[in-house]
Amino acid sequence: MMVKFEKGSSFLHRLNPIAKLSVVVAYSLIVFLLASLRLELLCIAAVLVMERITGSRQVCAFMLSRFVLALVVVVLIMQAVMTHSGTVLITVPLYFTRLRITDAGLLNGMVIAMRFVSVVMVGALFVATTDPVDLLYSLMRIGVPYRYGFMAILALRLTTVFEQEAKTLTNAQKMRGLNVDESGIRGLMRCVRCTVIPLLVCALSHVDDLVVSMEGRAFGCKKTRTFVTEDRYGLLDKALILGCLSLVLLTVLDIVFGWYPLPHLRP
Amino acid sequence: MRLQRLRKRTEGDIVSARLQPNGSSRVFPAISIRDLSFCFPDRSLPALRNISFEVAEGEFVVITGSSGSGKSALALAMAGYIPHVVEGTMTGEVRVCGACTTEFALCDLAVAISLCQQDPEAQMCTFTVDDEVRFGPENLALPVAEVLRREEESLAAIDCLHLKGRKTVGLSGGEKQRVALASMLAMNPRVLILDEPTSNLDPEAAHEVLLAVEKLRQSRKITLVIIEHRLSPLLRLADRLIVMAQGEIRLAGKPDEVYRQYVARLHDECGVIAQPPTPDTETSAEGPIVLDVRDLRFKRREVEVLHGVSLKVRRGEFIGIIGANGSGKTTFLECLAGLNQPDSGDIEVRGVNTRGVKVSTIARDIGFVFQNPNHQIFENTVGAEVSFASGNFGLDPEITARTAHRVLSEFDLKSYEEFHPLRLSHGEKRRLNLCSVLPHGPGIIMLDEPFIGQDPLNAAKIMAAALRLKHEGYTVLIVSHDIDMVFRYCTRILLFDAGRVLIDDVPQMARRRIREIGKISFLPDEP
Repeated sequence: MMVKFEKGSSFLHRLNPIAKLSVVVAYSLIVFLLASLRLELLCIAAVLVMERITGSRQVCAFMLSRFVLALVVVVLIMQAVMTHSGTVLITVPLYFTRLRITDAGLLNGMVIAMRFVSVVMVGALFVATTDPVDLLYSLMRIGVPYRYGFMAILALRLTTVFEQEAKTLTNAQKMRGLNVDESGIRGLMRCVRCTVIPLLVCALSHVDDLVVSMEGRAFGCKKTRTFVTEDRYGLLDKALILGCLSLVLLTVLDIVFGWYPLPHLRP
Repeated sequence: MRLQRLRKRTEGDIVSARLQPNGSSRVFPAISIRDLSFCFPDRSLPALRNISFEVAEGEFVVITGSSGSGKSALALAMAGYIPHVVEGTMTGEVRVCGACTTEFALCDLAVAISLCQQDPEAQMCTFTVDDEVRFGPENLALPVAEVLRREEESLAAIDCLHLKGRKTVGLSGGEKQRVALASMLAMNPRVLILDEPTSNLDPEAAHEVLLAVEKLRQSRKITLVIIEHRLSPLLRLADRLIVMAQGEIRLAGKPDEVYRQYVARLHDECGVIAQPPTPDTETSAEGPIVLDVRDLRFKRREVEVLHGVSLKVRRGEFIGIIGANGSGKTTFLECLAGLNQPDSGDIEVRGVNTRGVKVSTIARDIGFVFQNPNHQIFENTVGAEVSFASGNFGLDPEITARTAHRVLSEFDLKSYEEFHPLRLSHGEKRRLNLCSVLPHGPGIIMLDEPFIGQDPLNAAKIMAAALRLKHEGYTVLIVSHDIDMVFRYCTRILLFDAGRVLIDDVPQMARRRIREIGKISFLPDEP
């Protein structure tokens, strides 16, 4: 299960990518600073509401995928096992030692797991509602060197080309009797070898073509370049960026000066 | 150091380079080449040898020649990629509008000369037509108004204003080529080089691109250099035709005269390699049915791309499949090979219904040669490559080795048996692809666009190989945009149109029916 950008007209889709990125950064920072299960759950609920508004179902589907669920369980168990303070709830006898699960350990595990869920969810929502190309153009417009920005744009462009080429390679292999599903580990290794080399050859050929095309259109000859399409920042975009910056700044200052105690774990 | 300093020069410098040192201004030739030789690293023979010629401003020159004759190397040298990007040893001099290419950085030369490559898809750097056409002017950091003006003018110059706002991914092959052309025009070059601009296109799209070139010539006084194998549509447009061979210019002059000499020479060479068949359709039509397709329908992303195709193919038939890009030709072949599962309808290969049958089982009966040679080379030596499929099918290694040797000899590849396949030329790789599907004796051979990027001689060699297979009893299906080749050699023509078989007939009848329905771009040149 992969999260991909889905076109849409929700207010999240319409937000400027930089404003959305600011929210994601601020949200992730705050989520990491808050050590409260209630607040973590509240953040998750907020992301779920946002997903509902966009009309997408990708975030929930992604979070419920076996891979993510397994990661969440591993994070929870690791934290629960590693924290030794608090009242012991369960003791598991092992050959060499005993595992003790304490109430503090369990709570700590749940908070860290919810943090993980929260950050992954907001990231997934960002990916599902933001065109990566728009994001890269926006980043270049606010000062990210365009050489790096276009590196990422070309990578996105070539991804689809390579997907197509990998499919053709697999078809060509099947037509000559190589079947990855039936040949075990040795066959799998053979398939990988037979796929990697032709893909590499094709990639190099694409790189040659792109070099000719880009150099021939003066790519990289100036330090800056013109961007005809300007980024549009609406009132909400500006308010969000400003709000996020203020929130991050205030939080950092609070940590430094200790004005207001941030929530911490209390079993 | 010198290049670093020169990198700071601008468009104005190129213009000022056109002035003589004594101050008297005179117009330099658009391109001037003197004693140019170039050798790629690790190659013993030079790619270009003592090339000298001039192209006047506004002239339209067509360059042709066999694969590996140095055409593309010459284009790279003219546009300055040799020596700036491509490694190798260069001697002699190339001047563009009076400016020596070794003395100017590539980005400075880019405003004087542009090179449009063979595959438009491969040279696109962005996702929309607008971004693609603006890419060059934006890199030059021109003011927004100027960038927009150039975008508008470039698209208008080749009748592509209607493509504004479109995503590049949804464009047809012809549209992509025209957008690539517009993106180069936006650099405002004085010289435009097009490297095989129509080789990937169907005849209709190729016609569109040539119309765009014609319009461009009328609207702008641009110097055009086109490298091409398909010469006939360009003859009436060009001022000069240059024929290259082994890195040298062999013929040059008025297009009609040079073309006559070139074609005569080619006919001598190709005619010996691949003799067009005499009408022997009667014998092949009597063989058993090896492919039976009934009401085949196939959907891709919920859109039906094959609408009830029915077809019976007998053993020993040699079928040419033609049609526009996206008309369903390749999808049809993929259905026959089991790579696409039909949504409805039946396909029988040698009497066995292929529904639910594994691709590897069907592959024992059908050999499929894909479009790009590099997509189907998996081994480290030519010999191992030819035996690859037989090994996977578990055939006797001794018999496989014997068959592989025989096949390599028949296809003139025996001397390369221990070579790495990627060291072969494009034409040799194509023949190797065909060799590689034979040793397990599939009986039906399908070739998807085998002539792309092939010169007439190599195309004739492939055709000769296909003809030999036909005579040995193989059934051959060829999908190709090379209409002349298909009509000359195939014994049955299928014209696909929007997922349907519009015409299915012997060449003579197919020619008449195509003319009747007005699809004249799918007619071969008159003999």
